Amino acid sequence: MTTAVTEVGEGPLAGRTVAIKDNTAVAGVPMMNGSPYLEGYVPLRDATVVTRLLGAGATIAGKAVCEDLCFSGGSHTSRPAPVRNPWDESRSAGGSSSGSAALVAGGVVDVATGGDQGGSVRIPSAYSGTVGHKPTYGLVPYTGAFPIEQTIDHVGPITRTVSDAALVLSVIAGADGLDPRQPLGLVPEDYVGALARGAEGMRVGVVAEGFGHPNSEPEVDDAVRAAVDVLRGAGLVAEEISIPWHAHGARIWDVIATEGAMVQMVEGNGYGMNWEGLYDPEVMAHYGGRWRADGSDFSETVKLVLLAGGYAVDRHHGRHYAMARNLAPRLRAAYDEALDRFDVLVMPTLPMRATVRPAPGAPREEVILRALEMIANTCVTDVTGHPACSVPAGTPGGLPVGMMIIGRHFADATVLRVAHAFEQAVGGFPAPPRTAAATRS
Amino acid sequence: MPLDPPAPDALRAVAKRYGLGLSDADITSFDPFVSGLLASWDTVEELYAASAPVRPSVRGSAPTTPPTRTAPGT
Repeated sequence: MTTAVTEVGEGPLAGRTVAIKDNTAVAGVPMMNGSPYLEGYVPLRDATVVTRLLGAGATIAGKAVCEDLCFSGGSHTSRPAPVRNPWDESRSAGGSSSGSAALVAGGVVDVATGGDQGGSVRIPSAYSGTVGHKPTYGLVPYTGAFPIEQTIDHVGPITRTVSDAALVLSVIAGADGLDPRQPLGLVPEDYVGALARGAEGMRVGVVAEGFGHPNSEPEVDDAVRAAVDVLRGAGLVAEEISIPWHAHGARIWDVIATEGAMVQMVEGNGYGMNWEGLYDPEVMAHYGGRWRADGSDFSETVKLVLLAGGYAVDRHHGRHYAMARNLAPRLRAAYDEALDRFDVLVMPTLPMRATVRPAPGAPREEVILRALEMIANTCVTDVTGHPACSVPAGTPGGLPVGMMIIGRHFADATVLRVAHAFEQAVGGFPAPPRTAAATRS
Repeated sequence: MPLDPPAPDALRAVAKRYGLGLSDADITSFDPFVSGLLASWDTVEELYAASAPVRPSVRGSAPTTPPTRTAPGT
């Protein structure tokens, strides 16, 4: 949906166009969150990130369509229509911030916002060839974005360059006093200024468990290993490291995201209860009233969440959610131990390149597989909260591959410095052929 | 305690509770995905068992005499 909202004519984002993921409220502009249950809903207040972007001089060019309730890593579940990948329109743009990445990659807007609970900033960035930064949990307020599960909700920038990601992050980071996800005493870094410090001499841990998944494409693993060699050539020191808990991370995420989303996103009508902060009573009533009248319009992935989560909670009353949450600090500690030795960790963002989108009416099996098959590496840092940035690492066969760079909690600037060093070493990231041709003409 | 695989009736009951409008054939087609996803519950159970706190051997006990009666409503 296009619009044009500008509040001030000056600031670090003056003259820059932004697309806001359509799970995030822009007052007066309809918000659908990819779901028929939100159709007709118009937010009354801006999300914090929207207020901050407008205050920095940005022009909101429109809302970017996203996947149905943001529960898909493929771009085929969004209502009213699927999102096409600018590199190959038959393929997935990635989700759930599908429209955000496609609009940025296609050169339609300068930058965009995305949300990330299982990889939804980084997945479309990897598939569509953009930079996607999932900030440290709590660094950017989630206030005004439609929640999935409060312990894994993140908002972050999707951009064409690392310097733009740093710029947007510098605008949207920091406490707003309304979001319980944020820690006390939060002080953001100077993300833009940090880039000038370079990354020479930094230590890079190449996480063995991030490669060679059963569904990994060799082209992807090879491209990321080649990207690591580029970092070595730029003066960074890279070594392989094993983090066995990485392989458990997706299992822990499965339980948290399934039972947690069932309780908060569905039964709690998005917001749930029992926390201090800013709620959106209007969206709770709109969405809650609609799905409770007829639940058959949930996407196939959300139906799966409800069947599995509903069954598990019926049998065990949330015991496994509690155990998974109690395991999250152990998972985080495994990463922290690795990050004691290395400044950043890297691995492929996704095991594969963009897949062909399921056709309308495709079998349920294909719809679900294409939505969830790619999250094994990304979802882990949604549980641990570490910052993670996906950068384009190559285009084997004409399709982008993402390399994910992970850093210590609240060391987002370090992650971006390494991303920037890589971007400079490869001479910038490529645009999709049609966009590149349009830029030249 | 591992999670038992869901019986079709159990999934039907969940689907009905949320008004998902799923037929028996739909439930059957979801079953492998549900079972595959629920394998993660077993992994979490095993990981947790390896690190769960040990129950204290003796720390307090149930009273051996009946508790003092209190007036209704207090």
